[in-house]
Amino acid sequence: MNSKISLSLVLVCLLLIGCFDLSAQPKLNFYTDLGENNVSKGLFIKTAGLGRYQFGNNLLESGFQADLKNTNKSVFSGFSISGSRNFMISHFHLGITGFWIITPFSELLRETNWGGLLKHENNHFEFSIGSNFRTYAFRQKAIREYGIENNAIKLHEILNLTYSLGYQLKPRDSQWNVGFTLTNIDNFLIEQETNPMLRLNGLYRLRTPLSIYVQAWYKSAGATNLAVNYFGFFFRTGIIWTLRYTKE
Amino acid sequence: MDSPIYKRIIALLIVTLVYTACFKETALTGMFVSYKSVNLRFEQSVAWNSNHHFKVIDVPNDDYTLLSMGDSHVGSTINLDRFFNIARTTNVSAVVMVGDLTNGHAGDYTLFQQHLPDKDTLITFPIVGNHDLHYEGWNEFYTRFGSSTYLFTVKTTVATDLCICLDNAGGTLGDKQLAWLTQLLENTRPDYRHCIIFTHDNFFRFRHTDSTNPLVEELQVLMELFTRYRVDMVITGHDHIHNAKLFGNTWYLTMDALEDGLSNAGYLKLNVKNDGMLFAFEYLN
Repeated sequence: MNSKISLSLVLVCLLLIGCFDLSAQPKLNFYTDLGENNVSKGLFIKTAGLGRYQFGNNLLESGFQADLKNTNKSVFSGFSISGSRNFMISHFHLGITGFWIITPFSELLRETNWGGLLKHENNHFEFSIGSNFRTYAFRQKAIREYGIENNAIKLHEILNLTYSLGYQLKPRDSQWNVGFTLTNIDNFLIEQETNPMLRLNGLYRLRTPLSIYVQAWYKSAGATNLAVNYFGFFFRTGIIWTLRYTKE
Repeated sequence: MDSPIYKRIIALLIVTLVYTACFKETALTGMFVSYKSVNLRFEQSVAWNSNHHFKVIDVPNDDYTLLSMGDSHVGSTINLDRFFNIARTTNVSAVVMVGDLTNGHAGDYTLFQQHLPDKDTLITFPIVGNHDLHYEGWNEFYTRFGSSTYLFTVKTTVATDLCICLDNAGGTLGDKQLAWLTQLLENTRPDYRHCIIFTHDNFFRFRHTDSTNPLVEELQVLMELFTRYRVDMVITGHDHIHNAKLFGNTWYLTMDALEDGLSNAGYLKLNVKNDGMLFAFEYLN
């Protein structure tokens, strides 16, 4: 999928927000990442926007990511779309999500991921588990330029385990909160099951239907090889805007 | 907290963390604390390289054979001896050993070195693996073998091939080693016919295993680099079960482990010719 189609899809999703059920709760989430890692050659800066539309127990979300400063030569670096449904099994809140992510990480290659997640969260804890299929593929430019044969264009990995285990200090609807999460999932990146990331987060709800948040992510390599090594970190700061705010 | 079970899980994690951080004799330490960072190991390797020239292997023909093995996990040496015997009695130009040669104890290194053929009878190139790092094993590796980031070339009657050995035993090359590799490929790749990279951690996940791979961001950069500079082959171990995948113009190979007691114990035979490379996964049993 090229960047124009992806951005058009995001715009359509954003425009659809607000056109339906008045009881629905659309949200916009914009954030910026600043960090460095072993392959970034110094500071990297990414920005992303996600539109979320919740109607009843259903939720649709779509977003894009752009690289403002990175070794990646193309600015557009990610597009995601997901659908979720919340339900209860004997007083136990669960959510199930299906997602598809594409990351054109270079001029020559792209990565796609699709999969599902089962999620549970209560006042303090958040837990999710699922799977994804990862495919690396060469883009047309590379296929032409390097004469890549048909049988060597794509590489499919085996089903990957995705997980997230988080704890928030205060109940979820508090005005402010801090917490931590151990996970291998981010909005536009899914690490291998053996490469967990640590995220510390803080959130503050403003009086208007706006929330601001900051996150610090730490990535290590080789932890499950029992030979851990620093890989990288980044800070994320963002704002969540609930377009039609109704106090729950 | 919502439930006592959460408290117990967190308490168990904290106790494990403190225990492993305090008592370095357990291999679990390496899950939380770096023994020697990859950048530090790379700097030591560069220092060693500055006093030791990269080896040039001259072969009198236009083709030659390399053997490669990994994951011998000495310990015991039955398969190691059989492998070296095969290497000595067949006409191989060199042997590349891609890590997890030992389990990291000083005694393992001593045993491995005792079974390593003399330099005059067989040319060997060792690379460090994650198990070699356990129990501060890098000090043993460096003292006995020196660098784990280096290159060697094989000069035939018609061309010269570039072989690059990398240290990704900690699950990453690190920024310094990656810069070295990038510069090496940029500056010298056109001077050589074939380019082969040897390292320990395999890149891709084709089966479920608790052994880890380089992070996705690093793989993305390396795949692009190997495509642009036409790296012909990447030879790894670590996963203990062989696999071969052609992606782009690069073969990504993972070898069987050489460790004693495994039914699939084996090694890789690589025949390099002017018009390409033939590889075969050979079993010892």
